[in-house]
Amino acid sequence: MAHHSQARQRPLVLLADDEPDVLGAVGPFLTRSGFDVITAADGLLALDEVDRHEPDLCVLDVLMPGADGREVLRRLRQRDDWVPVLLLTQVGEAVERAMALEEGADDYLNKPFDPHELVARIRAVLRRTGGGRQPLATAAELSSGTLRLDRVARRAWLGTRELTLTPKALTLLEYLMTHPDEALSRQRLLEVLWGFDDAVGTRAVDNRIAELRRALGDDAADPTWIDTVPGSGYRFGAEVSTPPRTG
Amino acid sequence: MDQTLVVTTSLAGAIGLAALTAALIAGVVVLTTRAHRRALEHARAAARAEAAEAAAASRARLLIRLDHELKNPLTALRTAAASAQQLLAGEERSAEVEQAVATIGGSSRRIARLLADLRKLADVETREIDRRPVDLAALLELVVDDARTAPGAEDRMFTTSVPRAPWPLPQVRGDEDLLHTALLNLVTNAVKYSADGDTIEVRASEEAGAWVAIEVADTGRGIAEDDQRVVWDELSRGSDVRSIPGSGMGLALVKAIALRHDGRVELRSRPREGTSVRVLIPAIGPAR
Repeated sequence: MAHHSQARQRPLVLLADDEPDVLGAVGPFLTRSGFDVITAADGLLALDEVDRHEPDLCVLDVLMPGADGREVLRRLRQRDDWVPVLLLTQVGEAVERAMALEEGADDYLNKPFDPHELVARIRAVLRRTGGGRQPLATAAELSSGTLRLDRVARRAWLGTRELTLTPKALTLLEYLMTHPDEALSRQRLLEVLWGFDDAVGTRAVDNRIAELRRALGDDAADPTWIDTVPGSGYRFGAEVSTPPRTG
Repeated sequence: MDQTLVVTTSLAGAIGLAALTAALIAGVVVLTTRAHRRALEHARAAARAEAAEAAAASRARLLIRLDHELKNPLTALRTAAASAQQLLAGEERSAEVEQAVATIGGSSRRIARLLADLRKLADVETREIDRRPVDLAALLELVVDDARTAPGAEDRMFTTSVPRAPWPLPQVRGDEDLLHTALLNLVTNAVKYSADGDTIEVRASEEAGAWVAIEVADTGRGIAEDDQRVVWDELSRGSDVRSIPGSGMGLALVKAIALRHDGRVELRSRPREGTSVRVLIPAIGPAR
């Protein structure tokens, strides 16, 4: 399905949430931030709106009557609709976040979020998924040069050698590879690992990055894969591709 | 004579046997009583643990409900505050309006922060955690390095002591990130609640061959006696430290992390003299 109408000046965003106050506050904010916005008060209405308007991106709350955000996402993907989806997740549950990515959400954000952060994420997802490529977030397998990540089996290889990685390092690698060329703050990556950010705990991110670099033999001073963004965080600097979709 | 002897002997034997039997019975009774007492103790401990677990689960449910009920209005509030700020930009506006909008934005951020802290505590109490060998001595070095960058830390006298002899500190089994968070909380607390020129001592030791103890002691302001009883509870803040920014979640988190590692926490403090907090985690064997 083509979601990138050439006639559109501003990207069209579908915002689905059953909370009127959230729709009422976030909708206008997105409009002022340069998006055209349509809203839906539950999951089934959201699916209707996707059919009718073919938005460029959907922001779905996970908790909605009718069909919740994850159910909407599942149904979209089942019918081969790869419209970018940003899930508004519930609490900091690691399981939920892992599922969000596995089920093909392009990103997620915990409520209550900073609205500027939502806008930044929407722009990043649109940039990443532009040009009609298959979104990386929905691929079961990712590769970058000799590095290969099987997201379903949760295993990674460098050439033919399988990498020994802790589960957290693997989660971090997965997030980096599904968000290439994006400067990701330590806080953001900590949230990915732990479901919450913590002003003093970002060392945990540095430790896992160090583990990944060791396993990959990636030189921090002249990296092939993971760049350091000074004063901010990290970026997956190499090209990421997906094997051709089958079935 | 012979007969007397026999009788005496058998009498003595009978008495001996009776005594032995009595002793045995007494012993069995004592043993039974002990076993019974032990079983009772175990049952009581199990009941206590179960009650604690049930309380934790019930609190986690409450937090999830609270989180769920608050996250939507807070999302709306934060977004509305950001919108008001944008809409007012470039407009002629009074300082009063500007102040009001800034307050709405700032306060809603604070509530969101608090909610995130409560959620974090519930998460630490219930989530599945890593159980890998962790070298607390190496971790402690990182923690002290990190804490030295905290505001005010440059004016504290830091000493760190980690045993090398007769053997290095044993490892513990657990989640490195969580243990790092716990230790960092303790050291940054010591910085926060002390003044320029105060001493902060970080000590690692092996206790009874079974525990690794990390102690963070300071010559800071200490904790009032009344506050010491509740210092491990979430949202508890000392009555005299309201001026120091903090959520009152630090020590609750430290305790939760220690408990998740089958460990325990201890606190000694005297107002105006200083505070020592110890975290004890079961040791698993020698480091490397």
